[in-house]
Amino acid sequence: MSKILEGIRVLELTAVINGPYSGGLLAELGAEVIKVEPPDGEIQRRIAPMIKGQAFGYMQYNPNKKSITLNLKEKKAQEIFYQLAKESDVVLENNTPGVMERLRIGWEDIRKINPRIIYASTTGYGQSGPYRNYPAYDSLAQARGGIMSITGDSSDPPVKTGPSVTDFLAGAHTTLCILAALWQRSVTGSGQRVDIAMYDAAIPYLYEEIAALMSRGEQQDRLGNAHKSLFPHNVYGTRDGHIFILVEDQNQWEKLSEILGLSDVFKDHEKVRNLKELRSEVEALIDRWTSSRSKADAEKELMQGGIPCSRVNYIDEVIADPVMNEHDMFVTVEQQIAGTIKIPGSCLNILSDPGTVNAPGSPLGYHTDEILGDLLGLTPEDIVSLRQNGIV
Amino acid sequence: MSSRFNELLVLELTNSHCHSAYAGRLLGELGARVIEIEPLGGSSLRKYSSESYGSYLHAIYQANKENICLDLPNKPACDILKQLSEKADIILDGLGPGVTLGYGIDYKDLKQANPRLIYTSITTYGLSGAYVGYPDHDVLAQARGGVMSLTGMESGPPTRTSLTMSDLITGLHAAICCVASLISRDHSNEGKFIDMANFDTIATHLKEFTTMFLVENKVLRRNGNLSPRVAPYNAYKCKDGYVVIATASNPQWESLARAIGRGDLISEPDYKTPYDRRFKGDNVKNLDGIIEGWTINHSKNEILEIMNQAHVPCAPVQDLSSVIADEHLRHREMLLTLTGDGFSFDYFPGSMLKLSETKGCIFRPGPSLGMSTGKVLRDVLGYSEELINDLRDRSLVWGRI
Repeated sequence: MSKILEGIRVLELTAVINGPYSGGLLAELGAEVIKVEPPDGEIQRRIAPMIKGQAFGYMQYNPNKKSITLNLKEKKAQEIFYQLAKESDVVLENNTPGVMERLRIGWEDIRKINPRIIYASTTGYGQSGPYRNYPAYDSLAQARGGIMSITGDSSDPPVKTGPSVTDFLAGAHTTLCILAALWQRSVTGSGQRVDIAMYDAAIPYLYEEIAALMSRGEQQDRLGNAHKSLFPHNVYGTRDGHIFILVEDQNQWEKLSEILGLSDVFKDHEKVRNLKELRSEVEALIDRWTSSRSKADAEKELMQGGIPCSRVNYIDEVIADPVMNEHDMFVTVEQQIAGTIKIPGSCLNILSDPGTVNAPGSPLGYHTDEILGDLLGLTPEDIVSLRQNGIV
Repeated sequence: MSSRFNELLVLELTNSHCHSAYAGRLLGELGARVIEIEPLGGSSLRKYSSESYGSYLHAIYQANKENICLDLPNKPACDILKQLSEKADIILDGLGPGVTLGYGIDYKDLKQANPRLIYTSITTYGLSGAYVGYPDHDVLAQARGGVMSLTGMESGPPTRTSLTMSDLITGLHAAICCVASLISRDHSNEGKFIDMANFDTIATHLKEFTTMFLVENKVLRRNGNLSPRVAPYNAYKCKDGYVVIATASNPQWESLARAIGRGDLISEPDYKTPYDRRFKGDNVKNLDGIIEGWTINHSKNEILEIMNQAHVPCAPVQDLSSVIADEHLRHREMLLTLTGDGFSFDYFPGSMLKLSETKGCIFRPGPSLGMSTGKVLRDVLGYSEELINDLRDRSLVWGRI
């Protein structure tokens, strides 16, 4: 278990991907993350597939976290939340702007109780600006943020990046801000407000395209797998899938020509790059060569010739990949109800104290007694009464 | 409020990869003094694709930073880097496995001279494992890491995302490790060695798709803009482009059906749950056909107005010219008008790091080649004019003296 954030307590009121990912990174670094959920759990708890009633998505997005339920519409539950906030360093939430304030647990409410608190919100469009109240999913942020307009081939509709990249970018930027605020706080003694938006993440995602726009003054058509200046730069079919091949210079080009047995017509790389007819001929010749091989054989042969290439792996192949396993990127862990499962590990590889995934997300409310009893000093009778009244 | 980051000295070794550049930019946004160590002719970033394009790319990624041109293969230039590292808090090394070691710059020695140093290596496949030394392009990590198998149309080939997608997420997670190490250094008084890999970071971004394999042995593949779980949820052609409409719940679906004048569909038993609408028979195809039959007769703005009123999640597919003019991104200071001595930008990328007391800031674009070489040698190392001139005359350093 990483000790880097030992002693840091986080109250997390999040759902789906963005907020849970942010809190998950803190938990991987050793923070005590207490996930506070409504009595029926956050949305991710209800999304299939399940193992013994435990949602798999929830378990992998919420590693190492504790779980408590609080019915925050009740005044008594809000008071419990204030008690918890007094004992905590961070509040992390990804609700629609205004929800936390209506529950009287907004930034202004909590900083009065605990001026050391770091209060982080990560939402679709942020706490300010004309779109702040719009509902947001990753696809919508990718659409409005221009990410779809640069992805895929110009003959197809605009297409999104497969993984929900704006969710992850917003979540990880939130974690970075929380850590920066914790480091700052150790000198100043006071907390801060953090306000991150998925939509904002489109801008760093588009640096390359923004630079191209600055340079050319207009947006280029979508390129599919092609590259502004490199050729070849594409996927090619093999007997059992695809391989991506690219060439950077004349030297690699000569090697590739040799492997493919290309005629002297194609000798001058510069000329091939600039003539559309030659390019399509080359594309067809590469495809003919790759099509008669398996992706492993094609990759091996090209790599031996020093040609940058990689097989296109599918999810099953990624999970079975030897280096993914050497790097502990898929780990076997135990959940209280679901039992032994395999989930993604941590990429935070700080050598003497790496981020770790020790346990998947816990069953709903699993730590309610422990947190109310040990942390807030409530008696078993108090807790029974809170349960009976639907507070926890 | 003055930020603790203002006291930090970060050295960044970047050549062609954007991961270390983005990590450095983030630390610079937070207020650290970041010095980019460049080869005499400038980093490949500056020359990427074309001179003009490269210069803008460098301006964006290297915003706020200073730079120094060192002829690193030469020992006396390496000695300058070693002296700088004695004063540094963080080194970001994005040159690739073994490159700095080949120059004779070894973390073990640097650590001995400066035990508080945080050394961050960022590479495509990490410093251990069978892929060390593999060609290290972002797009190849996307291929091997599964991202391409999940991007593109169902009928089309695997498709790349942006050319810097995995560099971006890896630089970001490297910055997280750096700040975590600063926190730990406050207690231990010791630095850390960080070994970040694009390949590892990609694995943590596949969770939506690994689920179906790890539980049901099902290999999800690219599927255009469809959701792997619910429907209707897609990009639809309209009069003047495309919109994305995304319903994840029954109330949203019912509002959508009414908004397009097809309230009759709500009571259809085949369309009862999001799962049914997505996976039962030809439901997705039929429903998407009905929705696009409606959107095709409306403009983006009309559709947005109708969907917003109906509380149906919806967004236009915007191209870059609309994005850079977007009022929300301007309001959020994600796009800045940045002008100063010798530079002027109408839409310069701002900082995502919105903290109330120590928010991320952009002051200036990346420096021109060799801009602060003399300044760094004087300020950080206290070199005399005589010594600096001598180094320049021997072509060990280059730039403004």
